[in-house]
This record gives sequence, C-alpha cells and structure tokens, in this order.
Amino acid sequence: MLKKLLKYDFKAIFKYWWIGALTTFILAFAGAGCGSVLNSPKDLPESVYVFATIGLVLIILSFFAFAIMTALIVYIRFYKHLFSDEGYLTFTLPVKRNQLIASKVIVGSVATLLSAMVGLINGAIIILISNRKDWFYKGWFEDIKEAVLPTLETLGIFNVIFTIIEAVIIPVIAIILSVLFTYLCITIGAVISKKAKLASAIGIYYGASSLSTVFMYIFYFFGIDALVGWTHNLQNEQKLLIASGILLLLIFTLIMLCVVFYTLINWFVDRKLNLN
Amino acid sequence: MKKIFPILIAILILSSVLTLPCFASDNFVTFSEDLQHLYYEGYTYSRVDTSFIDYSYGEDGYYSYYDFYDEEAEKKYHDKFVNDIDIKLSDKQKKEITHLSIEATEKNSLICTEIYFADGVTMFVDFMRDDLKAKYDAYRRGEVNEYTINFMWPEGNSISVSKEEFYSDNKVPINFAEVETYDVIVDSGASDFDIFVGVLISQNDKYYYFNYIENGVLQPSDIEIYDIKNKFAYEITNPELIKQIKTCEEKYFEDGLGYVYNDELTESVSKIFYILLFVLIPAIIFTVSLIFALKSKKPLYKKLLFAICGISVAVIVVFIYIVFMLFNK
Repeated sequence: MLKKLLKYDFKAIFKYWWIGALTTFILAFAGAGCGSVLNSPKDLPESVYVFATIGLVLIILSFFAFAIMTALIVYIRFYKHLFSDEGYLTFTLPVKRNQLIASKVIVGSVATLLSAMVGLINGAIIILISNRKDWFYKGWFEDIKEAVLPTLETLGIFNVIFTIIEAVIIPVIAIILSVLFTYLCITIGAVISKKAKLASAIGIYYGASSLSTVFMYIFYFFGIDALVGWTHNLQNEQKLLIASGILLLLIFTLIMLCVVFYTLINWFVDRKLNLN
Repeated sequence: MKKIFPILIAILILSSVLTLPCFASDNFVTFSEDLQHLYYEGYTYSRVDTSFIDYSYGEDGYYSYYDFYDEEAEKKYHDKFVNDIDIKLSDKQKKEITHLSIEATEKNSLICTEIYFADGVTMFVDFMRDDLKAKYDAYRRGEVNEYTINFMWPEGNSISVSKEEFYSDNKVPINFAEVETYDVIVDSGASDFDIFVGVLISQNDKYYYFNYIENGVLQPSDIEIYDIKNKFAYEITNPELIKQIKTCEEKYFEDGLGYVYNDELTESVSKIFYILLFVLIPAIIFTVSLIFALKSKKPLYKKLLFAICGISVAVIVVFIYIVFMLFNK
C-alpha cells in the first residue's frame, strides 16, 4: 500500500513542480546571457550593464521563488491531507497511519532534494556559460592536480572517499530532518489549536527555528572553536580520525532526531484521532 | 508641523544632489589593482623628495602629503585631496599617466607614490608617518638589528630577538605543508603598521627562520604560505631562544588560538556543552525512550523507540571514542 501512496503523492507534488523546474532551467540560460554581458570585455553602454544586473538578480530571485513554491506544495499537501476536511477521507483509507506519514516524508524529502539539485544545476549553468572563455584554459588540469594531489597524499585516498561519502550523506539526512521538523510543527499546531491551525503551526515553526538558531550559535561559539583548539597540535592521522568521528557523530545525531520527530508526529496524529 | 516635513525632505534631496559632483570623476587617484600590477611588474623604490611638502593629517594618524610641480595642476587638484587617503583618478587621467613609481612595505602598506602625467604634471602622495618611514628606511638599509617574533595570542605574546640569532650554519630546504608559522617583524611601535621580515616555522619540534627577501619573496601576499616549495630556511640552534619560543608557543596553544579562549570559564563551558550535547541529552533520550518502549503496547512505537535507544547509545559511544582519541595523544 505504501507504494500506491507514494505513487499518488508523487503525482500530486510533481504535477506542477516540473513546470517550475523547467521554467527556472530556461531562465538559467537567460541568466547566463546576463552574466556573459556583465563579463564581457567590450565597453558596453552603462544601461546594458544595469539591465543585465537587474535581469540576473530577478532570475536568481526566481530560483528562490521556485524553492519556496516546492516547500509550499509539499507542506500544504501534508496539512490538507491530514488535518483539513480531506483528512477524514485520508484516514479512512485502508493503510496504516505511519505509512501515510512515511509517504509524505519520502515525497517531501525527494521534492526538496530535487529542487536543491535544480538550483545547483541552474547556478552551474549561469557560472559556466558566463565564464565560457575559461573552458579551454590549458592550466585547468594542472591547477586541479596541484590542488588535489597534495591533499590525497596527506590524507590518504580512503579517508578522502570516506569523508566525501559522509559529506554527501549529511545534507540528505539534514533535508529529511528539515521536512520532518516542519511536519512536526504543522502536526502540533493542528493538535493544540482547533481554529487557527496554520497560524499555530507557523508560530511553532518560527519559535522552534529561533531556538535552534540560538543553539547553533552557542554550538559554534563554544563547540567548533573549542574543537579547533583541542585538535590543533595533534598528528594528521589523529585529526583525520577525529574529523571522521565527528561526522559520524553528526550523522547519528541527525538520524536520532529524524526518528524522534517521526515518532512524535505519529503520536500526535494518534492523539488528534484519539487513538492513544 | 506638517509644513516642515516637505521642506526637510526637499533640503535632504537638494543636499544629496549637490554633493554628487564632489564624487564626480575628475580629480581622484585610486590605488587600485592596476597600480599594484605595475608595482609588481616593474617595482621601483623611489626616494621621496619631501622638501616641497604641504601636509595635512589623514585618518589613523597617517599624514598625507601633496606636492605639485605645476601651479595650475595644484590649483585644480588640491582642494579635492583634503584629509583623504583614498584619492581617485578618472579613466581619462589614468590613460594620461606616463610613469608611476610606488614605494610600499612588504605587506602592501603603501608608503608613497609619484604619478607622472603626459602634460608634465607630477603628483606625489605620501602615506607614511615620518617616524614609521624612518624605521622602514633603516630596515631597508640593513640598520635594524632586532626583530620581533609575534605569536599573536594572547596579547603581547612576542619575543625580541637579535638578528644574528636567526641565522645558524644549518640552512635547510623547507616544505611549508603542515607547519605552524609566526610572523617575524620589525616592531615599529605602531599598531597598524608592520614591517614583515619573514616567518618563524615550527615543524616537528624544530624551529626555522624563513626570510622573505633572501628567498626572493618581496611581497608575502604574493605567496600562499603553505604552498612554498624549493625555498630554504635557517634552523634555530640557540637553546635559550628555542626555550623562549616553546614557552610562547605553549601560551599560544593554551589560549586556544586566542580569539575565543582568553579565560578558563569559556574553556569549561565548552567542555560542559559537549558533555551535555553528546552524553547527557542522548542519555535522557535513551532513558525516556526505553521507558516508553517497554510500556507501549503498539508494535510501531516499540520499534521506533527501541531504534531511538540504539541510536542514542551509538552517539554516546562515538563521542566517548572521540574524547579518548583527543586526550590520549
């Protein structure tokens, strides 16, 4: 049943998402054109530069608008399906409640990840085309070799690969966590408030986000800087081991938070339906 | 009251509009990238003729000197240069420059420049205070016999060393990867002006002195300090000096690189923070999850809560392992 849920959720989310993605993709080429004008060695009239800058800024803003559109589609669907009038129908479906929530989490995470990738690709298009004169720069390979080889020699290929894997996994888990976090805020808002569910959800989201921002600052000030000081005069192998350990710690902590949030969402939904 | 606001707004707009011509292109010299470029390619250290100087105070105690050999030019440019270190040339004026000579310290602190225009006008600008200039000139003539090793943190962590002590018979090739470096400077006494002579390199419990000019590095900003190959340095062999350096280095590292830890309280808070975040909180989560998992009758919650227990244990274990690695060097 989960597969069917996923199928319908994907269809619903990506029904309009692909239009936004395609539009931003096309706009990226327009942005690349503006970037090329700004990078042009020719002495163009000032007004051309002004229009190119305005164009580029608007196009970049459209990328942000697309990301916001994705988030709105994902979260509005979650809210409507579970906590609005549509929710009564949703909960009568012959599926487990946790499957309903799992489906929303999976689809929401995939949509967010894809919109991030679209943003990166669009940015790359703008940068690469704006700087196309440098594509055939012969020193590229030598520059990359000079930058990468000493790092590989110092760190070891295995450690580099391990770190890259961890560096890729962490953003994916972070995206899932952010989706779960927002879903949890929506769920709590819907449970504690009967009339202003969305407003409560938004309020809880902003409150919790502010707290987490304060926490991040504290962590940065007392955490990261301390670690830099403590590891400063260690041997390279120990520094690497500690860095890998920290990344692993981060992965476990993020996974733990994901499971906690998922559990809480299920619990609150059960509470909402008086099924505890 | 209502009538005053439009008048105030009109005054504001008018004054903004009237000040715009002051920023118009005509009479400003920019010490821009093109000047630096010229400096690197054909740098010359001209002696500055200060005999015709008329000066005014600039910011931060810098003196700005303006000398014009042409009265008309003086009249045209002089009023624009009052109390301003940044003086900008228009594009047209830049094209009319026939020659530039710039003097600057090794860290790109500009000392003075002479700008020669096609119409025969020479503009001369000096940024250096007399006392600092005198110090710099003495260093360039080789008359400075004492250098300072500046460890940066904590404040005042530096030692004065006579020049000879930096040079031993042991001259070694140096690879800058994975070393600690400390600036070796001529102390000018000014907080905003340094004459950078070289660096003290700390590598594998040994210390070396790397001199910039001897290694053909005229501008430290020219090189990435960790990317130097095929250069040489002198090993420091004086045991007394080595002892002093070690003491300063310990102070530097105990201070945790200085910019955060200048007290034990901050250090303690950091330790408590880490323990709270990666031991206490996971332990609380583990305990609460375990209790609810045992009490819960629903299989879904049992699975989820036991999963949380397992992951929180993993967090604590990894953290303890990291602490063990950190403090068991």
